[in-house]
Amino acid sequence: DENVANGESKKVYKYDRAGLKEKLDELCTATEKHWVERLEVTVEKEEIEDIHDDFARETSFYNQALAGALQGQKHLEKYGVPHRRPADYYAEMVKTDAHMHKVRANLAAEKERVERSE
Amino acid sequence: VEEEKSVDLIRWVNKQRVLVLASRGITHRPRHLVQDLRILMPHSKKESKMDKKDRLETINEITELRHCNKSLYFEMRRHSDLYMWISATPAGPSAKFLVENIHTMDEMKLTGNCLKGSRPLLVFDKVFDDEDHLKVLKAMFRQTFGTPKGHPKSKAFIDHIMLFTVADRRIWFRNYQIVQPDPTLGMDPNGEPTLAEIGPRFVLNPFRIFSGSFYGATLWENPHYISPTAMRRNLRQKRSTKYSTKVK
Repeated sequence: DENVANGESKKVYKYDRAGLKEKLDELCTATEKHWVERLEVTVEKEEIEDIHDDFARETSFYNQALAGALQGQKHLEKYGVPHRRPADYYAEMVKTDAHMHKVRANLAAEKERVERSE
Repeated sequence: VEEEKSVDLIRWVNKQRVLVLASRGITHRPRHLVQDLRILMPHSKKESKMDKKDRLETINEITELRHCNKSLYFEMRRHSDLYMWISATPAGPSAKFLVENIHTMDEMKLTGNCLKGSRPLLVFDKVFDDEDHLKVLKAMFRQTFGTPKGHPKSKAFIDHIMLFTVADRRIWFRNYQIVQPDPTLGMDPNGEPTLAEIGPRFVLNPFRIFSGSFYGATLWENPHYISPTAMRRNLRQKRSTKYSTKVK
């Protein structure tokens, strides 16, 4: 599988599988042996026909992520990890209230614009 | 087989710490991306900007001084091309990527939000298990972007997802909020969630994997990688031949 990127060069590209395996074994430590430490799921993706088609691409990503979320939730419930944030749980968020206010205002304006044009 | 009965949900065992740093001369969008990642990674530490004249190996020294075992280094070249290094310190491996298509969390169309410091669920494309170099990258991403259980700065509840997926020979990163059904809107509280994108977005074009941390033998290199300079040159050439073929 030493493919050549552009016709003229005949460069041989390195692929040291034994070396990669060795490094992988070194990386995977006992401290993350349990799933609860890793929170990791693997999901297959539907084929994307045209990667430059934003809508098709993002839909495929969304569906893959959602399938992952459902699979992840099953694991979380199995091990009793709290994951559903109660509606009355207030804590600092990644985006500030001011930012979210702007996002909502922007969304409302967009919606209004669409309605007016219809 | 995992020991399913005795799961310790509180203790901090997996002590991953990530140093996040950027080179001097980084422009605003990559800088915001670095900031976004710092917010999403409570187990990360920040360091002042690297001088590009310094040898990359000095990052290893800084990483150890700051008691970190992973580092993410963002390097800007020619004021336009952003590269990302991900590295396990001190023994390696490390990998270098070209970062493409950056969108930060500031963008208005990204309507999701999540707790600051909540642990992400990591979703990987099945393709990561098929190839040796992707297996290594998967392990590195998991240990770098995943927040360790019980980390003092982390929060309870798992309300967002980081997606790593492979398309077009590149690795695409997405971060979504898991929106649980709202019973006040008459939805079944035990129903299926939906997702809302939080951001940031970026695409990693893998370049090379080294056995050491910022040095060492090459374990893998990407035969399909074309440097941004070569890409620009090709584009220029195409444009110039467009005229000459027309004249003929």
